[in-house]
Amino acid sequence: MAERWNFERELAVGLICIVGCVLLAVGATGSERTRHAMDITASVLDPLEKPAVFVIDCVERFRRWTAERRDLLMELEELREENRALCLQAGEKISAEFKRRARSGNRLPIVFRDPSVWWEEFRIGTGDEKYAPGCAVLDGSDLVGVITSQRGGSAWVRLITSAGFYVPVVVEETREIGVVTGDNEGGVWVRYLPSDGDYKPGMKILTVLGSRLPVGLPVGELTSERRTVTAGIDEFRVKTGADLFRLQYVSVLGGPQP
Amino acid sequence: MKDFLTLIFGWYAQDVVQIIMTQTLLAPEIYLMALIWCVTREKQVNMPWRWLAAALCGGLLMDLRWIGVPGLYGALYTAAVLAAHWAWFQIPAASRRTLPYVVITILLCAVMTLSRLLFWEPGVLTGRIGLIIGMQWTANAAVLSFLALLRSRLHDEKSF
Repeated sequence: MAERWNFERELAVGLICIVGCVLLAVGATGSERTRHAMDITASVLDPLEKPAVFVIDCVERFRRWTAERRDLLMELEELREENRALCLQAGEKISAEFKRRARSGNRLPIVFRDPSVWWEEFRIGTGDEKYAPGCAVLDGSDLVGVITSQRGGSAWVRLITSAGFYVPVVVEETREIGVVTGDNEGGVWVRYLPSDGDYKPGMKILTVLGSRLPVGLPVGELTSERRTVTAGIDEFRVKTGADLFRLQYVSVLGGPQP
Repeated sequence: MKDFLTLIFGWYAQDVVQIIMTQTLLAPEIYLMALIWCVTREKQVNMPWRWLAAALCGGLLMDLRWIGVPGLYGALYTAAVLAAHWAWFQIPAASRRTLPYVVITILLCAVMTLSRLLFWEPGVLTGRIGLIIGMQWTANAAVLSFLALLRSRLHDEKSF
């Protein structure tokens, strides 16, 4: 049961307060005195509100930092894409240049390929031309092997499927450096690639500085076949650009020696 | 004295939270909850002079700090104190515990939210009204839960 009290008096006092406030609101809103009172209130509260301002400053800085970071990451990704496109474009130019240099007059026949070392070496007929050991042997613009020696009218070529073939290469899209070598069984592998690289099948493999071969010679493409030999280091099978099984003619890059 | 310190702290907390909420969202009604806390702690049915004065002063200060319409929230807080006082003493003395306090607070906070939205710039509200109400009421729920827990620990054993 509610106690008895003078509710009418309380209501009257309350209403007087409310009406007073409403009159104040109607009369004083927007006046110069109100603005002055607001300025004074703000200046009195200013030191007390500093922690909140500090917090909001920190939040704002953090928000800006994350936004800027997101923008930078997006920009970086765009630049990477652009770089990949430019690299591919440059690779195509280089291929075209190799094709131009490996002209039809430079088409040399394979005169001997021993079945017992089918994937290791073969001999090409060079005629009167002289080629230095280490010259690149191509099928179209794709690397097939290197000349190891020349005697008379022929030269021996070590195939990229040979286990004794070691040439430094780069995965064009990721710029990871590895070494391409064969397994004497028709397979070509890129070795010593870091496991954490973002590799995808179809990425192009090109020669780099570090051997006597010209830079940018196409070797082939990465496949999805991957093996881990040592922790953190992977090997990928390479699909060669040249059909090494059905080779009949090759060209030599570097040109005949004078 | 402790009650007045509670009110001062409540006003300051609401002010600080309003700054942190960047003035585009509503801060929880901490000061109103503190006022109702004080009003509903009264054991005797007396004229709540102290709380009417606190409502007027706190409301006026809030008007001068935030909206520049002196008297608007003074009037609203005064009306809230009157309503809370009236409602509290309609409840039988044995039942004046945490639950009625929570119910009265929720109702008055709802009215206060509505009044704040009415006096806000419509441009700020466009498309964000759900977010504004949702954020404020999430914060209201957090503060009120804390106060209800505190009140049930402190006062529910005692008779009002």
